[in-house]
This record gives sequence, structure tokens and C-alpha cells, in this order.
Amino acid sequence: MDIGVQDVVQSIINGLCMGGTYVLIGLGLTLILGIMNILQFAHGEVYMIGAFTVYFLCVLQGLNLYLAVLISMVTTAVLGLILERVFLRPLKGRFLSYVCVTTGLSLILQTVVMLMFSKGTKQLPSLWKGSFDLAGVFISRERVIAIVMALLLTLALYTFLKRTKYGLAMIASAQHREGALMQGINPNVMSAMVVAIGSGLAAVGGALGGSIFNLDPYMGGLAFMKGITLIVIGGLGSIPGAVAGGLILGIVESVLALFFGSQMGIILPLVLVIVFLIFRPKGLFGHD
Amino acid sequence: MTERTPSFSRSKGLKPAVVGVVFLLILALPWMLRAGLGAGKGTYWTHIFILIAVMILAASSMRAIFRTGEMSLGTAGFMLVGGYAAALLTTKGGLSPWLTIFLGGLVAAGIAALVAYPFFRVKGIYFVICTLLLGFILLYLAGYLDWLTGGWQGFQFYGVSPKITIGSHTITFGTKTNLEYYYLMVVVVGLCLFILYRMEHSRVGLVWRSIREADELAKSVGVNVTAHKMFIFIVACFFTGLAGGLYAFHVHALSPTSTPANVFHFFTSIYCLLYMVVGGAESFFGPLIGTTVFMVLRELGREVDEYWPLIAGAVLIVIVFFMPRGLVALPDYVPAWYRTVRRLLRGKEVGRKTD
Amino acid sequence: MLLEVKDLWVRYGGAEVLKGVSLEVEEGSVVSLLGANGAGKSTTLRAITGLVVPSSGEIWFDGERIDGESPARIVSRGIRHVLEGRGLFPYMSVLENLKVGAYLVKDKAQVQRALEDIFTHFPVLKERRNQQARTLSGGEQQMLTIARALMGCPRLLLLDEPSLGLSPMMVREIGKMIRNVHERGVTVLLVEQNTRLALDVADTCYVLETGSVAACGLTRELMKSDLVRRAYLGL
Repeated sequence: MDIGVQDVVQSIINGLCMGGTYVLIGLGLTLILGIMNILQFAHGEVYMIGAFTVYFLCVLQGLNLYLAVLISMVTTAVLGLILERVFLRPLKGRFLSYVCVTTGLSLILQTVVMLMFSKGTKQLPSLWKGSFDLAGVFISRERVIAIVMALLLTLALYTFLKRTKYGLAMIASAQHREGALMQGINPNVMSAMVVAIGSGLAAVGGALGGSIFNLDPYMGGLAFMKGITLIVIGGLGSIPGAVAGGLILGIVESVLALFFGSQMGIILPLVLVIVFLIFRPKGLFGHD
Repeated sequence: MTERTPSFSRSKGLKPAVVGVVFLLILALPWMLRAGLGAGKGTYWTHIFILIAVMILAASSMRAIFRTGEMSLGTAGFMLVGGYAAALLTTKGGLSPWLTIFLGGLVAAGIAALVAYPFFRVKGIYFVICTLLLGFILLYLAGYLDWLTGGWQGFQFYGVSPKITIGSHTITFGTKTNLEYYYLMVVVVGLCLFILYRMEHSRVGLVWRSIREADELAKSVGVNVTAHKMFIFIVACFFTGLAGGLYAFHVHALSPTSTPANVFHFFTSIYCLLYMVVGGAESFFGPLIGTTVFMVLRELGREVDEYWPLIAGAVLIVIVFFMPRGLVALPDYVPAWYRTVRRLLRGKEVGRKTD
Repeated sequence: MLLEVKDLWVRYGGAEVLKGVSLEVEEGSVVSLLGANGAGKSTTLRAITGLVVPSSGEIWFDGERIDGESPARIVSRGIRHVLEGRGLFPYMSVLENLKVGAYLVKDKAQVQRALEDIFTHFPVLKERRNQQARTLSGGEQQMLTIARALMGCPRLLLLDEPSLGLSPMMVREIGKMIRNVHERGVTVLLVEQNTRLALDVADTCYVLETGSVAACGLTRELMKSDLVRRAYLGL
């Protein structure tokens, strides 16, 4: 089997694109972990719901795809707010409790969506049909769009975090909980914001994933695994880490799949996670 | 932080009687099922109870780890290892199932030992992630190493069962009636639970309690916390692997397809968590009650099986919010609820009177 | 009386850390809370800002009862607590730390003014404003954490062992800073193990011993009592 340069380039582009969707789910996960100190097991399902909302709006109701993504981002963020307020806040960090509640939520959400939309994979319409021709290599346009969107959202998040009062407060809460309290920062407000933002981002990630690949009610579990993988590699609680981790994960998976078959592409990153957690728990960029 | 023992265990006279009745029930169960439901359905339900026994062992092992303050969600993976090891050693290695089931447990324990040192260097939630990912990896390996395991299709080995030969009489544990296997499970799982129970109620068990409640304090008095945690983890994974082996020789077919219906899918680990929490994670009998109640209910509701994860998730959440000590503490909760309801009703009446 | 603590009891899982502590802080004064390690000084401050919930007792600030309120709410009343160990945001820059200090300030112009004010009084911080907080020296960090608290224009400043880990020269600087802050009209409640510093800056002192107030009074009075001096002040 001859693998040419063309294939490798394609594979890298695919990897970047997948990486982009991973980043969008990973950002939420890492922020929630950093600020609330919990791992939101239902975050994969939030990603999935974002995708299905777009499906509902766009395929079933005929809305423009991009408009649907925008609306989905908002509604999923609101869903996140509800989840945080009703299910997460009352638990106040009781470890076993929140593991149970978030896993319970993920089971519920999966089943609800499955019942509403029936099993079997679905597809969202393409973001932009056709492909670019770059020096003989054909790059699908929709993958480029996906990469661009992921990038823009990440930049938007970064700007929010570094340049607004609430953004700085969020970073502060992650770095020193009590220090943040002593500046008058209300941790409930921080929690609500971070879950809302994380959920909104995940929704877009889900839409991108659903457009380029498929939708199914169980896609959340895999997405969650990817999310964990990338935040461990990139550094728990770190934004640049999440980005780097996501892109690296996407590319590594893609290239490995090219050379060794798709299974390797899935196992190896998982092994990487365990290796990282053990030898470099901080990840590439993390510090907390 | 003192532990509240469920009220039924406080009344000393009642307990032996309850234990005796339950014991008799367990022994008589398959016959009662056959009598009540007829041979066909009776056999099916006996099969269900065999599965319940498997999951009780798995859930109790998970609880043992939880008692030291950690949480492992790799149950499914270790069951897979135990099951595959037992099945492969018998089919390809020609060893007796009695031996291989035990070896399956050892292999699972071996893997646990391998990952124990690195895993325990990371804290709390990251340990959970590691175990979850390990389960995932083991599942994928089972599919990937198809020269060994039969790949994603899995493999079947009907007709290979544990046997005992006494003189000219051979008892096969794996017949159409499921009776023999049921009693095998009762004996084996009962023995394992007995071991776990004794461990927990020994002096070492007290050490484990102290580790869970205040591990910094325990460290400061010289307890090697990590060594204890690793020990429990390895032992619990042995039992989990054993459960996998017992499962394998009952169903005679193993596959790693990652669908929620498959016992080696990580949903199983989550269900174990559910059984443990719903039954009552603090009590030794919690997992037993939780597993039995849940799995029986699930079977009864087979027609609405599609809704099952929804119900399971909802129950888990409701229990966490309203009955955090689990079903085991029901005798405590019911009077409290009764009092609350009475207070609410009385409050309304008083309101009316004074108006 | 700006701050009144009445018969405060704090229990941590079976152990009684504070047993009926009462103290008063008049507006515009500097009060020191002295005592050995583990006497409960930090716990008292933490109870005031809501990081620790008292088992019983009352805390009054500016005529209103504040015990049991959330820390963010208490801080918004105009109390700032400089934590033991400084509580800085290590990977954020000096400037960012200061900005977060002004979280509750709604008026952007006011924030700007406060920032300039800080930079004038603490030129070192201006110099290092883009450096990560963790790269600063101990003394500079202490400066930063006090400056950050000042960004919120507090009426009451609680300082928890500001001299910890600092050289004698730096400790004198801290003393100057405290007097400076006092001159601006901020009331200060200082917890210190360094008795020298504490007595230098304070008008009134309280001495805590294993959870209760062993002695209290004007500094110059306490200094006169031989018993107090030897037993509690180590002089």
C-alpha cells in the first residue's frame, strides 16, 4: 500500500479538523475542571445535544445551517446553566455524588435524544461543499471551515478570559480559590458562567463533528474520551494546553490511522493519556 | 465523621433471623422460580440470577476500592480480562475451567498490579479517569488482537464447562436448567463475599476506614496509605476478574463490541457504580441489595428496555439527592419521610384553623 | 465601632479552635492580634470574612451582622482580607492580579485611578507589572497582595501574618506600608507572630492563647505590665 505525500497532507488536514472539534469540547472540560474542580461526565452529551439541536433546526425545520449552529450554541449554553444550577451546585463538591449525578445525567440525555430522534446515524448538511485545490492536493472546504471556526472561537474565548473582568476572575478562581473569594468573586457566578461557556463551545464542536461525520445519540461518550485525552496531554486547566492537546491528538490519530489502521489511532492516544498522567501530570502547558 | 449503621443491624435479635431467611431463600430460589413460572421461564430467571451474582461480586469489589477513598471505573475492563483469560486458557491452553477461572482472576490482578504503582501517584479524579481509560483500552485491545481473541466478532466456546467427576458421576456446571451453575455461583460468590467481609471487619479494615476518612492523618501515624490502597485495588480486581471468568463460562461467548448491551462496555462499570450507590455505598450489603433490586426490575421491565438507561440515570440522581445512604438505609428514611409528611399536613390544618 | 466580634466559637470536627473570642475594632485604628502558633489568630480572621463558619457567636460590621454570610458578600461590604501565604494568583501578572483586586469596583475610571495610585506608591510593582506574580520576591509579593487588597478601596483591612518569611528589612517596609495604609483612613486588623511589628503599628492589642483572649488593651498599657510582657510578648 503506497502512501504518498498527498495522503499524508490529507491526513494532517483531517487531523487538524478533528482536532478542532476536540478542542471545542476540551476547552469546556478543562475550564470546568480548573474552576469547579469537577470532571463533567455529561459534557460529551452536551456536545451531542448541540449537534442534535442543529439537526433539529436545520434538517427538520429548514433553517440555515450557520444560523442553526448559532442558535444551538445559545440554547446549549442555557442547558448548561440549568445543569449547573440544578444538579451541580447543590452538591458542593461531594466527590461520589457528582460522579454519580453527571454519569446519571449522561445516561438520561443519551436516552432522551435517542427516543426523540430514533437510532441510526444521521448527517448534517455540509458546511461548504467542494474542495480547494492546493498544488495538486485536494482539501475539502468544509474541513477548512471547521478549522477556521474552531480557531475563531478559541480566540474569542481567549480574549474574553484575558480582557474582561469576568474572564480574569475565572482564571483567578482556577489559580487560587480563596484568593478569588477574597476579591469578592462569587463562585456560583463563576460556575454558572464556565458551564454555560463550555457548553456553548461544545455545541459548536458537536455541530462541526456532526456535519463532517455523523450524528448519533451515543457520540458523546467518544467525544468525552477525546476531551479527557486532550486535556491531560495539554495540561489540566490550561487553555493553550487544550488547543495544543486537541490539535496534537487530532493529527496523531489521523496519521497513525493512515499508517497503522484506525484502531491504533484510537488506542494509542488513550495509552498516551495514561503515560502523561503518570510521568507528566501537568501536561504540556499545565501548572495547577 | 462517624458512620451510621443501618438500623436493622442495630437490633441484634432480628439479624440472625433475617440472615437465616435470606439464606434459605437463596438456596430455594431456582426451585421456587421453576415452580412458579414453569420450567422455561424458571430457567431464564435462574440465568438472570446467575448474572446478578456476577454483578454482585463486581459491585462489591468496586465498593472495596471505594472504602479506601478511591473510585475505580475500570470494572468492565477487568471483567473482560478475567473472562477472556479464563476462556482462552481453557480453549487454547487446554486447562480445566476450574483452574482457568481462578487464573483469570490472577491475570486481572496482575494487570491491576502493573498499573497500580503509576495510577496511585495521581489524585482522586485523575485516578478515576485512568481506570476508565484502562477499561477502554482493554476493550479495544481485545478487538485489535484478533489473532488471540477472535477480534471484534469475539468467539464462542459452547460445550466447554467446568465439571466435577466423583467416581462414575460427572456433574457439569452448565446445563439447560442452569441449576448447577446457579449453586456454583452461590458458593463461589458467597465465599468471595465472605473473604471481603472478613477483610473489612478485621484490624486491617479499620486501617482502611481511617485512610478513607483522613488520609493525611493516617500517613502521619505511619500508615503506608499507598501500599494499602494498592493492595485493595489488586485484590478487588482479582475478584472482578473472577467475576468475568464466571460470566464467561456461563454464557460461553465473549465479544468486545462496544455497545452498551455488551457486558464489557464501560456502561457496566457505571451500572456497578449505580448498584453500589443505590444500594448504599457505606454498607457491605449495599451492592447486594442494589444489584438485585435493579437487575430484577430491569428484567421485569424488558419491554421498555430502551428506556432503561434513562430510568437508571434518573434513579441514580434521585438517590443521590434524596437518599444518599441508599436503599440499605430505607428503614431509617421511611420514618423520617413519614414525619415530614405529617408535619406538612398538620401545618396546613393549623393554617386553616387560625385563619 | 466598625468591627465587633462577640463571643465567637469555632469548632473544627471535634476540636474547639476558638472559644468565645470577643474583640472590637474602632474605625480608623490599627488593632493587632497576637499569640503563638495555633492560638486561633488566623481562624478569627477567616471567620470574619466568612471562610470559616462560626459554631456560635456574632460578628458585626458597621452596625450590621455579617456572620454566616458568604465570603463574596462580606468582601463587598468593604472588608479585605490579605490571606496567610498571600493568596496571589501565581500565573497571572502583577497587573492582572491588581485588576482582579478591583473586581467589585464598577467605575472603570476609578479602577484606573486606583491603579495609578498604587503604582505611584509602589514603584516596584509598576516596574514588574507584566511579570507573573510567582516570579516576585517574598517582599514584593507581600507588597502586591496588600496593593491588590487596596484596589478594592476597603474600609477594613485584615492582614494575616504579612511578615512571614521576610527579612527584617522587609518587615520594616511592611510596617511602613501599614502605617501608610492607616494614614489613608483604612482601619487595620493585623494578625502577627512578629510581636515587634505588631506592637509598633498598633494602637490596641489582643493576645490570643489557645482559642481565647488572654489579654487586651492599649499597646502602651500592655507594654507596661511585666506579666504580660514576659508571658505573652516574650520581652
